[in-house]
Amino acid sequence: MANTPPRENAPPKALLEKLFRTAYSIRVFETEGIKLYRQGLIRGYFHPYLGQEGIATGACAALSKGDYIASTHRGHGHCIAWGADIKRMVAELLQKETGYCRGYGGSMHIADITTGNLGANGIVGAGTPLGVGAALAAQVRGSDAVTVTFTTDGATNNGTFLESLNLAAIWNLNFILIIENNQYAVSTPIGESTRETDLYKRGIAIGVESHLVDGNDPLAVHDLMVEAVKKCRAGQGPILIEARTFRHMGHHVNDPGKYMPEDKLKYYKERDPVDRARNDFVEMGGATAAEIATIEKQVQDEFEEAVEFSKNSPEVSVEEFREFAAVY
Amino acid sequence: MREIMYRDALREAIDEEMARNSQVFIIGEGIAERGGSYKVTEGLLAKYGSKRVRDTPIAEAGMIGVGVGAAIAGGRPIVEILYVDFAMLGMDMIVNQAAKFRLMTGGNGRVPFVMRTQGGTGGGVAAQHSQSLEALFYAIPGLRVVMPSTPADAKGLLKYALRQDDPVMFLEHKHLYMTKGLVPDGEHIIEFGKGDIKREGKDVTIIAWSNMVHRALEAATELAKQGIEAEVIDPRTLVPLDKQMILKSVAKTKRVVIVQEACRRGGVASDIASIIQAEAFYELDAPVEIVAGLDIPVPFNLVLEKASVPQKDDVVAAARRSLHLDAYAQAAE
Amino acid sequence: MSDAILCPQVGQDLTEAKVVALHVKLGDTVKKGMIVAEVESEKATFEVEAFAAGVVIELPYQVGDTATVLEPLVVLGSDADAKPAAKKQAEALTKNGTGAKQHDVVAPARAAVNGQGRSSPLARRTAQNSGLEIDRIAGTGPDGAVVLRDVEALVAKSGKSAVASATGLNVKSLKDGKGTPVVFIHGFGAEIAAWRQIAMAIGLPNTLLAIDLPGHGASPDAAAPGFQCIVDAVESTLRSMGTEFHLVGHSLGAAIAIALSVQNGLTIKSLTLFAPAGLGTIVDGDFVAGFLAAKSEAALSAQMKKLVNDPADLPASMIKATQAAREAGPVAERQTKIAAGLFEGSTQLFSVRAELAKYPGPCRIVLGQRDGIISSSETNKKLSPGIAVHLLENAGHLPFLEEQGLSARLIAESVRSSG
Repeated sequence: MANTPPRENAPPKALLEKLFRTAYSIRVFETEGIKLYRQGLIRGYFHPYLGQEGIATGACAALSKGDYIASTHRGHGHCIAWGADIKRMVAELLQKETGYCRGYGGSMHIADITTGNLGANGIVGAGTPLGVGAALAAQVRGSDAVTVTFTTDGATNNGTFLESLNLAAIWNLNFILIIENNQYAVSTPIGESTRETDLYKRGIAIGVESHLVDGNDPLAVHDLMVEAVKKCRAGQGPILIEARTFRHMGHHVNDPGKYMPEDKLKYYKERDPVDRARNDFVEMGGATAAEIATIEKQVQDEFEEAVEFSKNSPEVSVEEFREFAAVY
Repeated sequence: MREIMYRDALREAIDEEMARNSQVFIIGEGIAERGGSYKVTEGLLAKYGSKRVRDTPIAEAGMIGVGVGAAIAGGRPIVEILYVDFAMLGMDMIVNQAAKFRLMTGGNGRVPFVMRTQGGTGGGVAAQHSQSLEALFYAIPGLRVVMPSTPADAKGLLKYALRQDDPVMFLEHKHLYMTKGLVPDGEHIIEFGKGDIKREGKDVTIIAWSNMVHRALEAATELAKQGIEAEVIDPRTLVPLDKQMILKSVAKTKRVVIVQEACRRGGVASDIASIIQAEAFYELDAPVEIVAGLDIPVPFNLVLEKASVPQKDDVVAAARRSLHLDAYAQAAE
Repeated sequence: MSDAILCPQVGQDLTEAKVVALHVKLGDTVKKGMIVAEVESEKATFEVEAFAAGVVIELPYQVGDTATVLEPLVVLGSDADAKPAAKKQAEALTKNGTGAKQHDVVAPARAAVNGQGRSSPLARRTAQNSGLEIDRIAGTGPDGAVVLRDVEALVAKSGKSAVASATGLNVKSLKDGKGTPVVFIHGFGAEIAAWRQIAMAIGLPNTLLAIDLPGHGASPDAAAPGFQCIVDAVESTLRSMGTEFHLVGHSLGAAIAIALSVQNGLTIKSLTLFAPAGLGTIVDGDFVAGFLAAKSEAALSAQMKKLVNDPADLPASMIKATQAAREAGPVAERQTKIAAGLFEGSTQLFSVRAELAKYPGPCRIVLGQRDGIISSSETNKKLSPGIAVHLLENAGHLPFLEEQGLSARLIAESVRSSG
């Protein structure tokens, strides 16, 4: 796809390994998480990131400590790519005291401000102004931290998309907005939501440098993001990136997604981002089958340990909750 | 003590806190070069520069959202919204983001966000620029709701707002910016949740906030001429509410009148009345009187505008009713 | 061991799903990952994947049945009687996270509304406390409602006490003054009058108030037996008068003062406790029984003399007043019922040791070494070092009468030391 910069040198093996491990971790988290949901261990909402793993994986690999991310309702992948502790994520989904938010937040609200994760968000589009705000706070502080907001194609038709990206532009903030264009706003296809389906063009209209990238290619996302981050730190932000992708299932765990055309789903599944990361690791990084098997085993074990940890974690305290309520 | 205007007291608070903490900054429409529609931010651009004093486009949802995001990420933003009516464009950011973040993060995340805005009637600015909307914010757990009535309170409360860690709806009143009052010299901070007795009395308690405190005081002066000593209580912050001060006063006077400029239906006055009936029922010698705005959008016509919100005579009449005075006069006839 | 494959959760609010296909039958071996059934919700059909392995030992539902979400759809095991375990697991899962207790509903302990005529809550309360019937008062409020001024006018005319209190406990002012009031709480079987003498000896500017306990003096009977009920009655009476007090208590009254000292909403600035009950377990059960059973003045006098070390210290007026009160009403019957909730034989049924340990303010305890009713040595054991204990060599159970001057001084010191 357009705007993917050509690579001159082979990427380092460590990078390729990281991209594969991250993408695979997200895949395992979502696949196994759905099983826990079906068994009633996870309650509430659950929006899987299946099929979109390449974007969070590539983007977060280009960021550094001290940067910020803000996410969407489909936020597990961003958390994992940002380096979150799988144990505390699973514990949160299992409503446990040891979860990131002590079981008070749940799937759509996992945040960890101590690491710069501004959190997933239950309101479509809300992460954009929050991310711009973090970038503004950084600029006032005199920091060169970059804030990345992951948003969705559905959110681009919301007023805050224009309002906040415009603020980032007039104030030259270190802000990168990644539109994860999975081509559906819940069940409405992008072509029914907007006449111009090339969403990156919206940035151009308000003077923001804008790019399109194949969201199913973690390495391409990473390489574009490295450039974008560099430009931001040099005072040339903000930057808009549209990463095109496709969900592997419906909007959430209980939506079979029958409205998604089978041929299109097949097309994207053949371009699966996790397979892509694995192949890159093998072909460009020279990883052996044994190395792949070891990583996959480690990732699976990590998830299983997280489930055990969560099951054995203490329940929340109603008394503490009542005490907490007193602050309101 | 110096006698200064409400707007100058607000400016002093912002100025002192910006000097004290480099993370404090302010954004809003026309607040930098022009100094704001009510001159609250005059001179701050020259003193603190364009990084910390910024004009914004007319984009309330974006401004408020950016403020909330900055607060989450460790900044101390003040977002000035020209009219509280316009804050409605940013309600998602206030209600679903700012108010929720602390709980959703299990108490780990905080949002030290201050939205300064103004409401109320004043001089025929009509239905979309005259509302008193504190009840909307009052009903959302997680927000602090502050409504200062005097320059001293405005300064002390705004300084406190910029030092605490929860989202604050700082609701000024358009009629008050040019009013004067004594403000203590030196550091002057007022903690949230501490009401103020604006006038002491023993016969009836009048509870009012923002501009209505002044109507209540005028009414108390009138009542004094009739031999009735009214106690005027200004809670100053509606969330948290100084319940103890109210209950103590009710225990003393046995009669209550609550005055709000906002419309009667679903108002803060109704909630305060319900607290009093639940916790001081056996102290009451008369029903709790509520004097409130009419349940109608504020009209442009100045006579009608005045008719739509409480006036001094309405407060006096309510106080007399609560003392059974008018009923007594009838019985004597 | 048995395991269950549950009817899957297929929506936030859906509790049922229709079984549209079963791919296994009894006796089949199931492997992890196999699709064992299909269920249909309002939205769509879902394949049910096996998350466990085993032999199918039970199929609770047939195709076409409506299954309950998160109940077993397929039970796996190796022996047939494993079903209860599977069922239990399903229950445990569905109950996950709903452990919050229901809020307790507390019935308000208020008297029924009086009469048909209208009256303000305050007027009703004041009338009740003054022994007036609200129905007989002419109202000058709206539509003839009785309001406070109507009751006050009648009280002024009839000379009844106008001190209002929410629970009808009688409160009297021993001396009018200013600042935080000092409230005196008498012991079991006594009344406000017990404090009259010492009140005159106390050199404090504060208002001095005394309260009659339920079933004592001019107060109504206790609402229910037991120590806590008495504490509650005194508490709400105090609350109706303010939030800040100094407390002086004797015996049972001292125990009540301790219980109130750590109540939320009341600020007790100081405690002066004479022969406090509730800090030990012993009480002279014979005295309690004998005191309550005494019918004649002579019997009463013999019993009450046990209260003091030197019988000369017991004012004759006190015995006479007690006798007069008993003749005037069912005082002894009421107090017998109250005693049954407080003492069993020679054992005190209540303890305020834990509360006393928590009290942060200034506290003085005055004990008579010759106390024959409670044990001063038992009381004096293991008290926090911050408490000043005055052990009076020649006093019995009424040190504030037996050593009046010293006691008055100690009360004044407690009040002043609170700042």
